[in-house]
Amino acid sequence: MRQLTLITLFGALASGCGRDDVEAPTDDTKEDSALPQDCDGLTWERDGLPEMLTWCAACHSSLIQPEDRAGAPLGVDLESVAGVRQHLDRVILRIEAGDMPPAGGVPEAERARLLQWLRCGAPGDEVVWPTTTPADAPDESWDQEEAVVAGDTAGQVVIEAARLGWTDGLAFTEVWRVTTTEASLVSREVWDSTGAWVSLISFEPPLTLWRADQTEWSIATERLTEDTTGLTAVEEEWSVSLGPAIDVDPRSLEATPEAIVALSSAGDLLELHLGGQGQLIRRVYSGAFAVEGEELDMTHLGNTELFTSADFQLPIDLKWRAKVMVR
Amino acid sequence: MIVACGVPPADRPLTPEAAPSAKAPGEGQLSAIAWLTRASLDLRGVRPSASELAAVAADPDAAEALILGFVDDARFAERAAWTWNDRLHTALNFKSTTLRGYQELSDAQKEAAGFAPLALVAWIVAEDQPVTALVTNTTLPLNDDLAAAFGLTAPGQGADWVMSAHEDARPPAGLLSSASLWLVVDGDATNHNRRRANAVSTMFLCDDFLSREAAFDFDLSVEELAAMEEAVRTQPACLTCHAGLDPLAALFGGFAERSDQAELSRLTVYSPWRAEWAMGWRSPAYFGRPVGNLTELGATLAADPRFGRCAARTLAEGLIGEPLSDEELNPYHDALLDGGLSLRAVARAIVTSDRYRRDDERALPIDALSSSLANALGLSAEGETFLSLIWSLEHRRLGGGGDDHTAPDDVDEPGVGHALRDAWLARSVAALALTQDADRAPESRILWIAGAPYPTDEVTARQVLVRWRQRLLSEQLSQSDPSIDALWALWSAAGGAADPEAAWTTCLEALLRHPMGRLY
Repeated sequence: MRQLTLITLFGALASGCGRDDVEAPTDDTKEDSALPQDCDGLTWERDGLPEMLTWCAACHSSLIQPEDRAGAPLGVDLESVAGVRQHLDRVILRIEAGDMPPAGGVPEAERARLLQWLRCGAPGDEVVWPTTTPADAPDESWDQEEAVVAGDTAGQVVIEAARLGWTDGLAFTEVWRVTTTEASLVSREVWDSTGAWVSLISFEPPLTLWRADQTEWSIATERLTEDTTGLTAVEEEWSVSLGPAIDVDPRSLEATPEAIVALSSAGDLLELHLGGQGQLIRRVYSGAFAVEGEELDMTHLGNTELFTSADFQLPIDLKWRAKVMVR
Repeated sequence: MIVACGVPPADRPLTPEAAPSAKAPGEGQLSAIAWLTRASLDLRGVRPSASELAAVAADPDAAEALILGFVDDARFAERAAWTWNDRLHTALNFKSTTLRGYQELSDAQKEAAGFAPLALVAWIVAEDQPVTALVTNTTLPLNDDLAAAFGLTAPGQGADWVMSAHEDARPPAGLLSSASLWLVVDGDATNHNRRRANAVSTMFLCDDFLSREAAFDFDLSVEELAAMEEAVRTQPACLTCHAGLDPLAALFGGFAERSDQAELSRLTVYSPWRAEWAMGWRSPAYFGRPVGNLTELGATLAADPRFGRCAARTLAEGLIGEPLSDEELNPYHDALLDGGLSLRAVARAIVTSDRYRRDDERALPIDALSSSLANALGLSAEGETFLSLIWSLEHRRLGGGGDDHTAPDDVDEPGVGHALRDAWLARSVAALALTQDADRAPESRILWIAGAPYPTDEVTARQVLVRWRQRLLSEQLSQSDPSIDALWALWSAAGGAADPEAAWTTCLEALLRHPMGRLY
């Protein structure tokens, strides 16, 4: 009966990888856990570490940043045998209760093997891992974008977004024409961090992104250029075309926002870089891009992140977003 | 008319194993001859030679030494490679998918692209490198066909594989750097390379995230899907997988996304910029250990005890032909660790174990079927029929073979397709094999015995039939064995002395369709 009570209690408390805010086990509980075990030959390398890596260490690791711990309490780190021993009673309790990882899922055989190793006192020596150099912290500017839906009138949606960071601050407004069957980008206008106008790109007809029957585009742009006479606005007209570029630095695309139509390293892909990585911004299309006058047939592959504003409901079928998951 | 195909189940090798022996099979164990045959097919892809069979028939204790010697045979490298395909599923993939870029490749290029990851396994075995080279080696196999397919500099050795350095800036990390592998396991703009991350776990840790009980429920509403990216970071049911999966996925952004439009040579380019960009999505880590690039991932993966265990499991289950429990796996895993991470050490432990020697009939893998028949018949394994057996999707599927794509795994249960495949196979090669062998110098013939080919006297004919059953079924029969009687009756009914060519071809076709030739 006591076991049942504990399970219920832990189940109610668990959420995320962490929330390890359970009372330390009582001596009575430890006695229950300390069942006679066959401990001969049990090791961290064979019996403990595999299970800890599979089920625990992705969150419970002293080596990763706090924001990557998915709520695992700081200090409860299980990537080393020393860490496991430090929290041994607590770990046993959670594994016994079956509420860690929070959604369960540990097969019974693995759970039993892990418990056996734990109840034996977590025997074994540390494993030697190679020295690694964690990737540089991602440029924060890549994630610093806020996008809001500024208006939704007569089938036309205006998205305003601001971006900070290595682009020295940019803001843009996009005008989208949205119906129940298609969505088209009408224009994209950009300002710098001081509020000065940078560029305007207009698509005529609007760049239809959810239809494949658009055959020709002419794209008109206006942008500021600087020369000896100062800043002047220039107008350009150009078409989407397939270039030989390979491995275009995405940041260079961001830095030159008038070139929002660009090719990825994979070629034959149209990427609209509408912001930094992560939110609402990177729309990828696959298609047979050609010089003007030739057929332009694109397939929308997806976005890295979708519209998240509750105010904006894109009136098209978005079931393709299931691709976000592992296939 | 075929009258002798229905060989009774009792028609097993006649082996003089009556004498007590330390290596005598226990209950439920294969005889020494059958054990030798199984190991030879598994390790060399061919049946035991006549002298090997005779040696073991004379002394069953001789089997173990012969079998251990098979592990060092050069042919084991390719067998091990095919065994690994059950884990990687790359070999046929380029033939199975319908992406535009793949269709532009020649058959040889598709086969090279699919086999390239397996060629690294072959190299590891051939050179007896530690299995960790799978994820740490700085070079990868390349041949001229693959180079042509991927727009790389051809090594100039034709279809032979040459270990080659990468031509672009990808961090070297064995198969983790393989363009072939990441074309087979592709990514797109929406899955953030999670599929590739799961492939790493499945292929190298034998742990498929999708097999977890808390795996994602795809049947979600649009509204739920819209909130998915937030959910995978916060919801317990999602975190069960995504806490480990997503930081791993962040390492694979440098490989191209899936495209039905791009040329294949473009999809093989690694982009450091895109890799860096992807690492901004999530801080890359390997189950709680930060890693900065693929090379570090490979080194970390190699240090993970799950990696070695998975490698041992892959080889053991490949050779034994069925899943193993953890307990059953332990001795093979121990052999890997004790043997300096050598796959040959694992193979020795496997083929000499009681588990391997268990008397359970197994279906012959397709590559071993092809190579063993070519060898038994004295034909080139590079002949069209034998290549079709392995690489033609139609023939492969007919015989229950997986295509590494929509139906990745082989179907071992015998069916009508197997019979049709074997009928085609027998018709395709029987006459050719007899003709070619007849053209050889008498001392070099392997199907005919001394004297003129297509003999018509019964004594000689029975000698030939005994030889054929030995070559095709690894049997040591006497000339008066009922099975030989049956074949002689078939020979007579199929033309006999009046049409010896037809009679002998019919007999060989019948033996080539013998069900026991597919089991071992």
